[in-house]
Amino acid sequence: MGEDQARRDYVNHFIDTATQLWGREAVSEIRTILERTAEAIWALGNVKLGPEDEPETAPGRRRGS
Amino acid sequence: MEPHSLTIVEASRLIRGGKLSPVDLLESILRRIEALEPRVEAWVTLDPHGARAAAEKMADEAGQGKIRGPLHGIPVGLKDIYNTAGLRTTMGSPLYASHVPEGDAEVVRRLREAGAVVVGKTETTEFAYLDPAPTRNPWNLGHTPGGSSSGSAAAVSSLMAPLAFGSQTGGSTIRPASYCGVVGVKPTYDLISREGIFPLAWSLDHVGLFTRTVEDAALALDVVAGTQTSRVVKAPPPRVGVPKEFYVRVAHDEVKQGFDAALRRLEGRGAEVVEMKLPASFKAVHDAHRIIMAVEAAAVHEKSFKQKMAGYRQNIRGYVASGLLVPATSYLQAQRVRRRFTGEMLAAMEGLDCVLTPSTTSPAPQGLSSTGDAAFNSPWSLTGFPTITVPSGLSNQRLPLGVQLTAPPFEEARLMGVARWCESVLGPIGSPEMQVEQGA
Repeated sequence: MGEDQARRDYVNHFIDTATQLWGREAVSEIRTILERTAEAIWALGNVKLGPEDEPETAPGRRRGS
Repeated sequence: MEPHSLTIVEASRLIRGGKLSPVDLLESILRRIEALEPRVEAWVTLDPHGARAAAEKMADEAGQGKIRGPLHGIPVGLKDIYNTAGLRTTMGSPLYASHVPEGDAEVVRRLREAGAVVVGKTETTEFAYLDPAPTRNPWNLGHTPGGSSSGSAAAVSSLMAPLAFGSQTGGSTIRPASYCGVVGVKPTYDLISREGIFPLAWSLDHVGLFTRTVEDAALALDVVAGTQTSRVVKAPPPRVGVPKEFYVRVAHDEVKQGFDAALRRLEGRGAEVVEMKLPASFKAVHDAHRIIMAVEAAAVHEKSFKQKMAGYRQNIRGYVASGLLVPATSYLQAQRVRRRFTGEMLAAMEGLDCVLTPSTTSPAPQGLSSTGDAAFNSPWSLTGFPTITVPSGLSNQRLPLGVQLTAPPFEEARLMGVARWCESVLGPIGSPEMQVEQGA
């Protein structure tokens, strides 16, 4: 399965989950927003990070100290 | 000169010298609002009664020689997500249409203590996200003022207030300030308390403020943040980094041309302009920002959303819904990207006074259905670095353009110094020409 197909499958899975929760009509009104978020999740999943890359926990103040 | 057109520095000097009463200043502002508000729609709620009482008190104190500071008697507008004791605070949402807080937000408390006069609450997009407020751009009423702090930017631009407060989670201060041709400041994350301000996404939310000059912005920032940025009188020509690869590639032609012209003027007066490379992690920052904001907004609204989903407008509804579906591991992945980008960006800024970019991808877009694009601002909301926009000129359609300056965290004094220098070179763009009926 190609990368592009895998990405489309993930986006479709995301939309299906939303449809189960809120129904087809409600999802149709916000579909574009849901798709963009699903695309962002997919893209972030492809960013190469190592175990040393910890999550941010306190932006700003901790860095400034 | 009518008092409503005075800057904070000018009005403060006159009040201190006994040549202007805070009451006369307020009445001039209220007349200006009465004349322009039907066209601009910058205000949700006005509080002339409370404002007059505060202005009279400040006038009495001034008469006795007691001046609280540079904001003594200065009218201020507050974005309608700031709690104001006894004054309706709607978050731009019908769900909060009759919400009246018991107490003030910490920023409001500090402003009142400093003698500022709260005129009213300014329009915001719904919950400070993307569903537009009714506000129009004073430079062209057919164009958006930007968002989410739409009313605050428009009020300062149209001389309905010399000072207004907003917020920024993506680009909600810098973008509307630039579209409306005023100075907008987003200080370092957590430099100013967010207590009593309705959140959109906790780890991205910043207090923002709007004025007509950098000097005014520094004075106001010092009052609410306890900084001393207004003491920086004149900085030498700065060394600025310009990351062309994203900011110039994405910008519309008018913005590119305006930015190049601004760069030439700054260089001509001695600024050293260095082309800088953005770190590799930059390509993921907009996705990381989107995921963090969606998840945190979903957490803020989760309980209410389950009961009142239909009460949310389309953009915020979709955003909260999408945030509820993001896996925890993806949220953490976004926070890991955020941390890496912040570290790499700090290293890239070594030896520079500031990073300089266009403030927005385009001049204020036509129509009121969108508040524009925050792509040039959200990276700095993600890192928490302080930013400021300074007007840099006008487009062919006479819409404002701006330059955005960014400094490392807690370097507000440096940022203000460079901004004042840039402002002095780029010069004022003036205020929008708005016809006012006689007597207003």
